[in-house]
Amino acid sequence: MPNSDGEDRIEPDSVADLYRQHAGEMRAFLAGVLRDRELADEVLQTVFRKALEKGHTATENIRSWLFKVAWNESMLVRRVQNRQTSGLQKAARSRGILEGVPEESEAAAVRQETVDQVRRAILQLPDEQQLVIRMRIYEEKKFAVIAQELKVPLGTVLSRMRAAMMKLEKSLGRHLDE
Amino acid sequence: MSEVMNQSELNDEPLSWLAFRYVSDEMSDAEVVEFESRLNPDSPAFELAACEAVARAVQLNDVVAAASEPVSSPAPQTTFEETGRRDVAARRVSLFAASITVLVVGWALTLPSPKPPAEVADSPAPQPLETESGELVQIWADSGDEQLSVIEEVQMPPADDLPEYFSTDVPEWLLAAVQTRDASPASPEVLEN
Repeated sequence: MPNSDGEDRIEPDSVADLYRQHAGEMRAFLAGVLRDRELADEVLQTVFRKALEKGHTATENIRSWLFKVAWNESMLVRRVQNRQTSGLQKAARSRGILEGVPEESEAAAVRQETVDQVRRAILQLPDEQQLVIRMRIYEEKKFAVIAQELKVPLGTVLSRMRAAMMKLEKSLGRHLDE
Repeated sequence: MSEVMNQSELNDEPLSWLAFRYVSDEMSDAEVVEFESRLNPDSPAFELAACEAVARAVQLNDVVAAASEPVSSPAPQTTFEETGRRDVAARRVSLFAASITVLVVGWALTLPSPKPPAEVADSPAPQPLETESGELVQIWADSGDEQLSVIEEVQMPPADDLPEYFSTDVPEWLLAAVQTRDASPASPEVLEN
């Protein structure tokens, strides 16, 4: 579709395909950078609007281009906002925003399958790693607090967490790539 | 903990672990600056792998959080008395509904049957209702148990707390753009990625 400059934009159908392929990863990236899922969803819309308007100017791989736009848009948003220091705590709380959104049963089944697989993988971890995982991710305690509560050195907590996350990421690789 | 890490140690850390610490806010300011230089496409330190690692760290964090949640509590127990009262009320409603149905059907049967339209009258005679309904009943009876078992097998508990990373619903504005394009006259546009 030629724009005002006479250039050919990416077809809306193609942008819709790009959205289906990359929206999940981009949304996660934005949530990681912005620490706010609601904001991440807003910026995600902007990113794909830009893909519709300017995606045809991309000189690199379109996925790299989307990451680039996502980063730049995040920085624009960040400039007008005070940086939140609550990390994923806020992000975790904002998960509730999506709770009422209806979803396709297939997607729900895939998600449930992933959660079940992680649950099994967590149960296979040593008890001390399970405990650290639970305290850090579910109870949202900082590593320093966990170390204090468990009365172990901070390095020990970090080692346990790191080992656990590496194992979980490995066991989950296939699902996260989907 | 982050303050004790110097630059070389930071570079030795696996990217996925760094990304997890980044999204978990477990980095010092200096570490954040260094790590974000890897995310910034205008920086010479930019790495696409770092962007991917951030996305994966968030996804992993969320999935682990959902998997770490305690199993939802069972439905509240109802007392025998409550159940009994509900059963009596349900039976009364059912009886009333059945009575109304019998009255309506009986009244409908007393009405004279309408004449069929000409085109319908000229069309070939339909299969006898008995045969059709008999076959349907048989099919239903044959497949009922199987269908029920399949439904039981695929029922899964919902994962409500997990974000929509697997949801790929295209936003409405994009659908509108597609529809607008479809409505417009065909033009030799070039697909470009």
